[in-house]
Amino acid sequence: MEPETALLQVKECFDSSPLWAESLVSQQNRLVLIARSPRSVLAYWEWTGPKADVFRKGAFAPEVVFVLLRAATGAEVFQEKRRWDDLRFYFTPPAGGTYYRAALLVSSAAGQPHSKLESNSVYVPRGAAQPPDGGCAS
Amino acid sequence: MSAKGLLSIVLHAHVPFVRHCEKEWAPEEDWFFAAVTETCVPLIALTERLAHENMRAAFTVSLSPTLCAMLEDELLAKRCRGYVENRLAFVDEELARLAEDSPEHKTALGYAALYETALEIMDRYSGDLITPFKQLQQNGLLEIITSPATHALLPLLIHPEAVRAQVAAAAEDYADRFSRRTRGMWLSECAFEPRLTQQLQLAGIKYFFLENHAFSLANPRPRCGVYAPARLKGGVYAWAREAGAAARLGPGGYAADPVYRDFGRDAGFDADYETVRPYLHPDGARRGLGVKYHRNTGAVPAAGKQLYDPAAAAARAREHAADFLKSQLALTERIYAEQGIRPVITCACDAQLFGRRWFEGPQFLENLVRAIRQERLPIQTATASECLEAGQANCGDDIEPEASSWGEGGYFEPWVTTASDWIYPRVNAAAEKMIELANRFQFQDMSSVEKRVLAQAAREVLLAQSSDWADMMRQGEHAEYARGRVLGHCENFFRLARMAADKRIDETVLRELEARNNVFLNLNFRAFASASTF
Repeated sequence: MEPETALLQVKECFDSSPLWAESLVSQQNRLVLIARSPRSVLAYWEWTGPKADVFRKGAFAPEVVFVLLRAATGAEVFQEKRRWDDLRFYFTPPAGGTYYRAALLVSSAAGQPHSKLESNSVYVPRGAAQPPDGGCAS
Repeated sequence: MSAKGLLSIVLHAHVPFVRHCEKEWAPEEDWFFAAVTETCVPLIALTERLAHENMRAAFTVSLSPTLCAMLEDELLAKRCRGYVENRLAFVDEELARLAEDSPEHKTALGYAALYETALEIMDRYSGDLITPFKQLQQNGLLEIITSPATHALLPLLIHPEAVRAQVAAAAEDYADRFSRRTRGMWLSECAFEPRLTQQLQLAGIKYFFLENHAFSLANPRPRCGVYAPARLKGGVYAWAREAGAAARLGPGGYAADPVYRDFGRDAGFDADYETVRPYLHPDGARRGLGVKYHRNTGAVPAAGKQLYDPAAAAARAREHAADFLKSQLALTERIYAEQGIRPVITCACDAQLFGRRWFEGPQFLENLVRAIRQERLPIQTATASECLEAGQANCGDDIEPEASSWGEGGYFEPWVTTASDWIYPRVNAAAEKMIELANRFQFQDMSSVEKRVLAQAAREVLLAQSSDWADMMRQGEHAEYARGRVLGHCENFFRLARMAADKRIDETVLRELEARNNVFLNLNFRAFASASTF
């Protein structure tokens, strides 16, 4: 699901993994969506220290299910399995000009549903922009 | 002659808050000093020159709140004076070194004039450069507007309270500084999404600016396209940049002409090290000294750049002003013929293009206003508020502009990359905590010091939200500095949040942070409350 977006790769090769480690000792379990363009949305999630420990000890299944929903209807758009400690991924939404939200489903090691995180609602822009005209000098 | 169309020249000036009182010097402060000497002062000077000849620039100038805070800061005024004196001393040495009939000597004379003007204007206003902007606005020569408090990219903030705090803090800061309410707001990077409209309306904003595809993809499309203001639900108005004018005035337009001064080559890098050493920072690292002897030349490597000729560049700036007016008059005639309206052409640009990047940009602007007057052209420059008054009748139905920005790709990708995405968990967590604190304490009786802790906490969150940090991380050059700023502001915030929550206040720490990050002195922490009456 990773979009092939040139801007995702930056000039400087910078490993931000250590900075994401803080998302494993968050004050709160949290799932967030941030729209980057009609073709790309960032999803990230955070776990409290105790919750992360439960994953580490194997009481929860290591895979969590990311579910994208249409915000207006709650209709499911797609599901994708991710590792609990991926902490972020970029995906391409099926259409722009609409609001989405998401859920992250956590299961017990035995596969029983345990809990879910719900995200904010995000507006994904419609259409493709005209070619950038370079108005921004920065 | 009555105008057939209006030119709305909108210049957005912004520098992130880079005041480092904790250090003897900081290279990042040079960004501010360069903006002062190469953009703000030339803009003030040209507006005053035109006024002395009874001509109105009538530009709309967006001054970001962080830039405003630095423009009237005493420490930075003193340091900026030192910066200008240093540049002047270097130029003097260059003038003594260069043969009087050499092309470089003519160029160096121009730099002497630039820095002498900067010194004269800074001294005339005792280092406080808000005062001249305020006076120019009071005299009806410019309209000043604001932008989000710390230039946050509002569509990336996930909490409505955080958006409101950015907008409200900016609006209140503007009212404190300019003794009136702002009518307009320049959205950072022209970044918009539909839910912002209500927040802008609540803060009393009458209009803002968007990239043109926000209109071409709007629902419904505006009746007059980008040539009139579009009314949004709630009675807020939006303008979209005119693509043709934007292309002419953008970095790849006139500014790229081979005759104009080249921005890249600089005596700070080109000259003998021993010559420039006395004018560098104490670390001795080579850096730009603002004295540049070469012209764009064309698609050649830096070593192949030819020498700059100020007279040829000045002539080209006059030609470009004439060309721009010719194209805008033709556009005006066409729109009038097709739509039967007097169009407003919104030419919105980064102010730092004019003077800093495009050295002759201020001459171009001055030539533009002079040519309109002297040639009695049927077009005139007008402030955004004047354009709104003139163009309101052409609005048509309420529209909902599309989410967009003027950044690369047209949306928000440049500010969310694998180098910068780690910012958002931190900044959003800080904002969430700030909202929680504001909700908890907003109706409580608090001591003065407790209010100060929460106000400083709010400042730290706002500073962490600046879009500049993500931009620097993407571009790489100042990434380490940017990472330090995000981490530092978040760390400061959580430290203050703990003090507020536990009611165990370390006044030494508080005073130090207040002295260091002294933006928004009248900030009310309740700006972050969910049911704020701020």
